[in-house]
Amino acid sequence: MFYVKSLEHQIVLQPIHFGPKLYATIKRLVKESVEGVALPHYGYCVKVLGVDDDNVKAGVIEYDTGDVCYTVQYEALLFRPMKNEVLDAVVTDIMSLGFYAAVGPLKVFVHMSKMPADMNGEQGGGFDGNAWVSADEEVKIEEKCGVRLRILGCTADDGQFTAVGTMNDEFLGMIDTGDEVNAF
Amino acid sequence: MSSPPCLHPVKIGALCALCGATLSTSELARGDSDASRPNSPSPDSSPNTSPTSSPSKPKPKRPRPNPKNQSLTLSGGHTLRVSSSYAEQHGLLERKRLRGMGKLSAVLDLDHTLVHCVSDMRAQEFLGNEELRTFLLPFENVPFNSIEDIFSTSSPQICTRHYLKLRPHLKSFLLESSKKYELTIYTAGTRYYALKVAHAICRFIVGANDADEFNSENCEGKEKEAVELRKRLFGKRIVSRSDVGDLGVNVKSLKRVFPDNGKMSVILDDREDVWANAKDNNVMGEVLGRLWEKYYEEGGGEPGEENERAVPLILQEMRASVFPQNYKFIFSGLISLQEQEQLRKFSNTARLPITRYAEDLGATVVNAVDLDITHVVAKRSGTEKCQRGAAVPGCAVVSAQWLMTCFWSMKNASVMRHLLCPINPKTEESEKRRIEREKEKETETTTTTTTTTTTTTAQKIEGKDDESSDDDDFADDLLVDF
Repeated sequence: MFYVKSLEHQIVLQPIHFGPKLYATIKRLVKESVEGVALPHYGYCVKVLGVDDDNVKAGVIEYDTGDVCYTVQYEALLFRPMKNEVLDAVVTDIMSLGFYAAVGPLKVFVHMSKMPADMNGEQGGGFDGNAWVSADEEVKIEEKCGVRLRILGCTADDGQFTAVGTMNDEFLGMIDTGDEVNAF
Repeated sequence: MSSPPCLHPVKIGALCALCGATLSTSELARGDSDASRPNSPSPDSSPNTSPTSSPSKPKPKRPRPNPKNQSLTLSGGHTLRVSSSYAEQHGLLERKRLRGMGKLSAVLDLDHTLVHCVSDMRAQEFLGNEELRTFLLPFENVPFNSIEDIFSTSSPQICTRHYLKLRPHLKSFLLESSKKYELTIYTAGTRYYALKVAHAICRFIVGANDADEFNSENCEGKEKEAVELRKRLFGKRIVSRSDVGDLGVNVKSLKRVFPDNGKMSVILDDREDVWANAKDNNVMGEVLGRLWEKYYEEGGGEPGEENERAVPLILQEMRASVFPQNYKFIFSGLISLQEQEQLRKFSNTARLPITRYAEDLGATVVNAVDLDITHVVAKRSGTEKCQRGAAVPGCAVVSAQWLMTCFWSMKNASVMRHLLCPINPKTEESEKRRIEREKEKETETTTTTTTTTTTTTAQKIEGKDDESSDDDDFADDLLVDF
């Protein structure tokens, strides 16, 4: 789910930056250090929408180094995968245990037991080395095809969210063969 | 819904890959929740029955399912942690799939096995050669998601040029073996490197020139063909150093790719020593065809059945039948004094590789030259044992190369190319003496040290175990008189 939130970030600046471009530097550094990063509890920061000059609090000088630490408030557009959320994803890796799909920066793993029964081998179908194929060979999940998933759970670690999803529910499953993408 | 509680057999980071629950530390550490609970609802192939399913004869050591996790690296380089019993089930499923396709799986090493790669500029002068390829590798290890990311040059980087020499017959080897084997690349290089090399190999096979790489007009078809081929040959089955977090410098583990420890897989690697727990699976390319025939044509049970045949065991059998039973070897100059000392002191020392090769192939290794010796395997000619051996009628004095050839090709190769000195031909007289000697042996029950026979040079040879075995070099001159 996407939402906008006001967050705080700390920037440490060396004295060399103190000058007319101070605020511009602070804004640039906030953008650089936050955009694209997974913030635990909040989700992926997709974009820094704005840093108001008024929201940069007065810096605190560190006695040992002479550097100044600024606390900055900024508005961010966040992407937070939620439990039970339904998302459209692109399949990136097919493997014998299931497959990985990507929703932007988020990687979602779908285990074979979370696929329809006619696809995971319980009632025919299965993994053929490059794709998951349904028993009637109508549905073939391979790289780059689009799938609709429900998120079962997710965690954030190492600057990245990992999520586990299911395809085993009504209205979930393949929504795009990816042929157009594959052509390129 | 009243489904049984999830046992969390597969874990990604701190998540259960099945139910999506965030697991506590204790749940993460516990692997086989189902094995520790006897009454748990276990799936169709229960882990409790599987240890008995291997053939009854020489059983590979397989631990009972225990509450342990193991890492499993799957195609695309994703590493999951899997409980032991789940890994076993999964291995079974994979074997069934391979069997359905009529294939075995082969794990290929890149460097020194399929290709040679250097970053030495001197290689540039050979660039005209079809089998020499070149590509750029970035200095730093950049994160990327798929092979497509490599080819989209979004951010400029510092690169070093690498030169790749493809081994001879690579094309026919890969095309032939891919019919009977599912190929997986397992290299100690980075993922980027592995993907680049795999692509370079495929470009070579379809006949795309290096010069065309940046000239997309006339080779678009070829490029497409190469990509198709790469998908068909290797797919995403590439495991590299980057994927395997805890990969030591010199360790590769078959268990990491195949949870069942390679019941249907063979390894092609120039280094046997890095495969700590799968030495028996390592073979040379030319054996692949024979192995496949043996596996599929000699029958054996379906995966999971009592009489399922395992590749390491088939390979052991194949090796053991290479040499006839009467082959008796003696090594000269191949085992250092220090190693000999160690072997004498500690009876439980592991066999030396050279001894293992000979014994695996079905030969007997002895310490002293006697008249039954069939081969002296020597580092160089002219040692005492060589000279003694040369005098034995019918005994071939060969270089160690011969033994290695036999081992890797799994054939009783001709000794002719490896002879260090001509074979003393068997004559009627010598045969008669041999038979006499055998009879004598039967009657005399004394130790070999006292059974000295007379007259000819050959028969001067006796089993002086200790002194003669350590220092063939010092004793070189001894026999010259005769």
